[in-house]
Amino acid sequence: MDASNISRLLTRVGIGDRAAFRDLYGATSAKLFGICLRVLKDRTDAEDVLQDVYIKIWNNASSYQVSGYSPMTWLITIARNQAIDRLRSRRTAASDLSDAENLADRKPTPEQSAIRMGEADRLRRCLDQLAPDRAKAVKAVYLEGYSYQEMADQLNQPINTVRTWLRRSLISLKECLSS
Amino acid sequence: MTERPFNPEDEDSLLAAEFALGLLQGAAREDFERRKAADPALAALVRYWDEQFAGLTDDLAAVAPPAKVKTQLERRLFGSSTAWNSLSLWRGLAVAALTALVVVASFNLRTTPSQPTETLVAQVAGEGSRLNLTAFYSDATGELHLNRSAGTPSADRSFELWIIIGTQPPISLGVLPANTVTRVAVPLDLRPKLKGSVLAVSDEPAGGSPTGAPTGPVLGTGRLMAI
Repeated sequence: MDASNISRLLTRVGIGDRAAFRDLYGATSAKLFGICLRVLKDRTDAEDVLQDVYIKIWNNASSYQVSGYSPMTWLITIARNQAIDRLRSRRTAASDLSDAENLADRKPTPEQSAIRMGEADRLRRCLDQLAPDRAKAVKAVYLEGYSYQEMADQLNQPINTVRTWLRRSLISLKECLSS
Repeated sequence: MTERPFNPEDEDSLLAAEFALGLLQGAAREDFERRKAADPALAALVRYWDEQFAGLTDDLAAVAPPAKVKTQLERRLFGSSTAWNSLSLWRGLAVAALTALVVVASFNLRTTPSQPTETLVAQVAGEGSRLNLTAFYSDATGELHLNRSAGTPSADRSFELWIIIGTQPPISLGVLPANTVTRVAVPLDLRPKLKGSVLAVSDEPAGGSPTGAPTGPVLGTGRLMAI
């Protein structure tokens, strides 16, 4: 299903159309569940959060069109933020020792590398232009929900140093993306 | 990579990126949210970063969620949807209603049965209070009384009123006139189905949607409930 179809469905969901909501769920739930699973790494939590995601979508769809977002980004952003919120509340509940591994280098599998090379995606190219540890940090913040404090603890650096470091990565990223 | 001081003009973009990533917390986050609500340029910067970062999910495998997620979701949103659609439930209700009618009729043999009238009300509003509309409906008149306290279409646009009954596509109830207080007659066949249905107002080209379905942004929705 292409973006304009998703957009049309979202518009109908915005006026309470349940049939459109079911179609939207059918077309997008696998993508959004994949994101919840990646962030939470726990099926039960991901299933739970996916429900919250679609309840948010149902309740906020009427504001989608005025938001100016492309439809998939609108959906992905809700899913990612909801999953990160759950992850963070889980982390506060029990500090997760394995988190320390997440900032460490993780090499893509061969299949992932193939996808990466196959797609001329600007974001990916620009991330590749960053120093590897910086690109990794940006991805980790998006997909693991790290706070500056957590990064500072893990990298054993003052929080301001970490913030400046990440901000420089974001500036470089933006310059590359807009060039 | 060259290290140089931050440009002041980069500051808002950086804050927007940090906001999008969830790196702003506490007072910094609240300050930014307040500014973003008042400044479309800032909201656009956040949107820019959200669009970029969403690309980080391109590589993630799509995984079909188990069917029970959808069942639970529908129950949370729409009540027990499977029971709702079951024919036997409706047959049961119909029998019960008929029985009740017979009982009521036998009690009311000597009194003039009063016509039960139902009044429904809906508050049609959306985020950012671009529109606020109160709708009253009375069985007695078959009309919706509308009172719009916020929202005016721009010069070349019209507000169109829609009704959504159950899972059916929206049905147009017409373009709202310029008056903020107005009445709209509800077609006869729709009247018995109004309770629990949803009213919606969309922003359309002048004169209303050219397609018969909403084409513009939905400014607000509200469910018609009995009072």
